[in-house]
Amino acid sequence: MGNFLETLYDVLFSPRTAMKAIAVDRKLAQAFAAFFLSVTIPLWAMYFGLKAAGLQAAAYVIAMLQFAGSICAWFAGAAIFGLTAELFGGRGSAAGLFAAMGFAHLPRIFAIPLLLAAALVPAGVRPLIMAGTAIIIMGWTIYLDILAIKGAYGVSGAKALLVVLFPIAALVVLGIIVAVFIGATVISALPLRIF
Amino acid sequence: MYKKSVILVLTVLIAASLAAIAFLAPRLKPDKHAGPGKVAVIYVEGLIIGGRGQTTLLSESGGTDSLIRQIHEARDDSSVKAVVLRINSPGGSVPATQEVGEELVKLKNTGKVVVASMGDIAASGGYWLAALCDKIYANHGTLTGSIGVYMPYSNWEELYKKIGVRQEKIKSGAHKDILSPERAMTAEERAIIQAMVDDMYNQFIAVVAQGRKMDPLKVRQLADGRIYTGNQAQQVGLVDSLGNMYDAIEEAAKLAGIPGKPEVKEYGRLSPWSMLFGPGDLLQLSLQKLLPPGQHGELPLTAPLAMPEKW
Repeated sequence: MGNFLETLYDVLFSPRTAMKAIAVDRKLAQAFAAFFLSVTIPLWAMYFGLKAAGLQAAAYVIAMLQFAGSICAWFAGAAIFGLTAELFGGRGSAAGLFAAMGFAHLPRIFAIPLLLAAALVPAGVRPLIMAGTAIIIMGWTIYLDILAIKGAYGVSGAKALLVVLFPIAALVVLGIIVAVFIGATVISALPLRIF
Repeated sequence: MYKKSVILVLTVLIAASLAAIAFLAPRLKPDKHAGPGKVAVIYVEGLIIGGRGQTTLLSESGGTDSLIRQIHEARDDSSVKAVVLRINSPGGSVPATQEVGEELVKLKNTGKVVVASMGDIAASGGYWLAALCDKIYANHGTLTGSIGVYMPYSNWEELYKKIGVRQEKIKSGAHKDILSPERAMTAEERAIIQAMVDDMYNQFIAVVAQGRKMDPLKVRQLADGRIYTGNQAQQVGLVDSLGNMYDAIEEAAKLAGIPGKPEVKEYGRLSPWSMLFGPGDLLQLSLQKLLPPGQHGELPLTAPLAMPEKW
């Protein structure tokens, strides 16, 4: 427990050394614990928000989707980033990257105090604070992912950034291709109508 | 020890934040009973048929249950001073139309103004609902009217003979299989159905006469089932004014005494969520148009119809 708390501290305040140490030591059990806390605690905040908005029934479904999606993103992300890092010449352990990426979800917990702050400001400013919170959390998580790749595969920071961006760019290109094909199919299927 | 203490402090901070969110979230919900007067827009689209329709994760569409719920919400929302019923419907079943109509009457009884705005078509059951409103707006080319009731019946007796199908029935009463397609209707059965249609027709006439403040005899003259354009309907008194939805919104605000440009609150609007999680009314309508003739507009035979089978 003590060791776990110290790891959490290091991830927050000395992330470079912490992510490398987690990857090298392959702290899988701690990674699962960190991931579970990082995902479930913000889900409670989301549940209270949706419940207040009258979407209690949807809250359970969204929470389940969010949890399942996060697990998939963790597993698939580690696999894809590991593969991409190797393509970029990195050498390291997929299990180590997986463990480090589990800790990379930690910033999500800090969405709770930030959301509370957003709730206390005037309604007009609230969307800006919420958007800022989302950007901060996302940026922080990606930064930890980059450090995880760097620590696990021994690549440079620039290469680690490319490893993160490469699958995203590939997805965007794939999405554009699919959208073009779907659009062309829909347009060709439209009957000519004259009223 | 220092590291552990920092993490424990952060844990307390997060736990306190979570507790505060749990406490504050219900109080941060926007107060829908406050604010200046709003004009609600409620859409009546497609066939008016009872039931829950399509319920998806974050929305519901189709079926009159959701429509009734929207009218109910507008009634309970004290910030809504007027309602525009945007109708784009060829009609539907009489009971479903009556249910919605009753809710409209309750809404009007609270002192709220209800204005109908007709889109492409507001015929039969669609006109029934419009007639209950304080004022009716239509476009010049809107198809409306079709005041009347019919029940469809097909006799497939000869077809069954040709393909060698003979259906036997054990029934509890003489008329239990009334409207069965495999035999001709008897004179007595025709009289029963005609009496039902006449009864529903008389209810329709009463609604139009009362809603439009017209002489029932005059309504009967107009209500031979024919359809009218918006222009024609205005000339015979079935429609008050010609104009689009925004004219109807402005008029509703004016009648409700809302100064300036009114704030519009849309009910049942298609959201990205509803498009993601399930088909909305518009998509259903498109699907109906794509279906081969004879497969759309099929309502249960047991439901009396107040709409033409095809348009």
